[in-house]
Amino acid sequence: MIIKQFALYRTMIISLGVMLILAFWPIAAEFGYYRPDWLSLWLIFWALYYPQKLGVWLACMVGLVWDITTGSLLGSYALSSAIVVYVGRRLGRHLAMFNIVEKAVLVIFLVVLALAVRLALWLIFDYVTWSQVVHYLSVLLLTLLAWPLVVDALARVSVKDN
Amino acid sequence: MEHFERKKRRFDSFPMQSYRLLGVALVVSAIMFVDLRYPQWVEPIRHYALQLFEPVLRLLSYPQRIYDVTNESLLSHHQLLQENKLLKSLLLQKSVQMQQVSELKAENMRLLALVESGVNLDDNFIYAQILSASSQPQQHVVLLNKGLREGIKVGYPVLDATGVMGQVIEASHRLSQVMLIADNRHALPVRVRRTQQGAILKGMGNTQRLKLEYAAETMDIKEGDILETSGVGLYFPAGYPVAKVSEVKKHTGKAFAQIYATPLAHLDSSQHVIVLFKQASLPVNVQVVSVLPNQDVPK
Repeated sequence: MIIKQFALYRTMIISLGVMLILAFWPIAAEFGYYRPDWLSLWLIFWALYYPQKLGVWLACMVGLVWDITTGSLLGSYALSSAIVVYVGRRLGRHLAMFNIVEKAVLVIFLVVLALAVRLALWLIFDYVTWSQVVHYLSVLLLTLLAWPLVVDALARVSVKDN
Repeated sequence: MEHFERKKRRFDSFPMQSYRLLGVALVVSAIMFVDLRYPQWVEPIRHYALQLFEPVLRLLSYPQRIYDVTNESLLSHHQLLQENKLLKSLLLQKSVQMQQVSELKAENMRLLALVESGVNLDDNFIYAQILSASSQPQQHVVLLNKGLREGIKVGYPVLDATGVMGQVIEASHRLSQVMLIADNRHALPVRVRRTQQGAILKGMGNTQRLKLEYAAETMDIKEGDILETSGVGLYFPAGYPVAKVSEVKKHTGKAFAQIYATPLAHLDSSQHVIVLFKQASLPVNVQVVSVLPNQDVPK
């Protein structure tokens, strides 16, 4: 049992590492807005499917690491991550009973929430301009498109560990 | 008694997670306050994080670098000959221009020596290559393949062949981060080359549009004017071209005019840049000797 628990945490860490690599994979500056929000996808998956493994404090720590490595306003990723995990855990309690449309709506809501919290903080503290916020629609769209791939890949590895 | 107990258990239904979220919100607010109010306290954390993350970033840059090298080696013989011819003609052209520049430089040095100024016109520089753009698209920050090991320090200006690109904001052992002038957190003191009037050029988060702030409504400026570094501040030497004025809007009765400019540097496409840094202050005469070995040195 303990070994299984450890295996799941190992999968969490490895998958987070993969997300970090995907987030930092060098792409041309003009395609910067065509990169999915990998951290949100990772958080939403673990918050919805393994809520007992990912709490708000752990999400906050992961967000803080993201803040430091990406050079963002310290705390912006941390707060958005904690909120998304909190809301995800609360709304996803009956996930097993949700049909595919309800699941899709929940994921869309969580991704929008993550981006909205972060962009609101960045706007307040002048880290982003309104014209740049509009570009985040492409980030939102690509994050939603990437969700099925992420959930499929993570579900495969996590089910094997669990 | 019953009333007291009921009052005491008022928040029992409030889930534990909500308290935790509240705790997170408080801690994050404190962290954010520190980052905004005392950035110098956070600076070492960011520095060590970049240092720790450096091997991963370097590793991630290799696929693109290998692709570039392979691409170059696959160029045809004919293409190489053409490029060689073009480069030779450009070199000749630049050499002729350099002769004029060295004459001007010599004259400047003589004048500076006369007024006993410690200004060094002989800026030093390091060539560097842009490895990648920031993972955060709203930030106009790029990663260079040179760092502390090569002498790069925070604050050094970065230029490409056509103009000022930005400034080093973080440096690890072998990498450095440069904030481009387009970033909305960047501001640079500039002056209009034609009139020498000063203002502040601020990024707007757009690589094609910068805003000139604190330009008085009465300022003599028109579209096409070149803005250059004014030399005010710690690191940017004076006289380097930065942007070209693209739009001037003056509203009567307002203190400042709305002026926009286009950067001269190719912020989106430049791959090779130079990082400027000034040599440690030397006596004026020594500098003159190093610049003009065959000329008379003013005593």
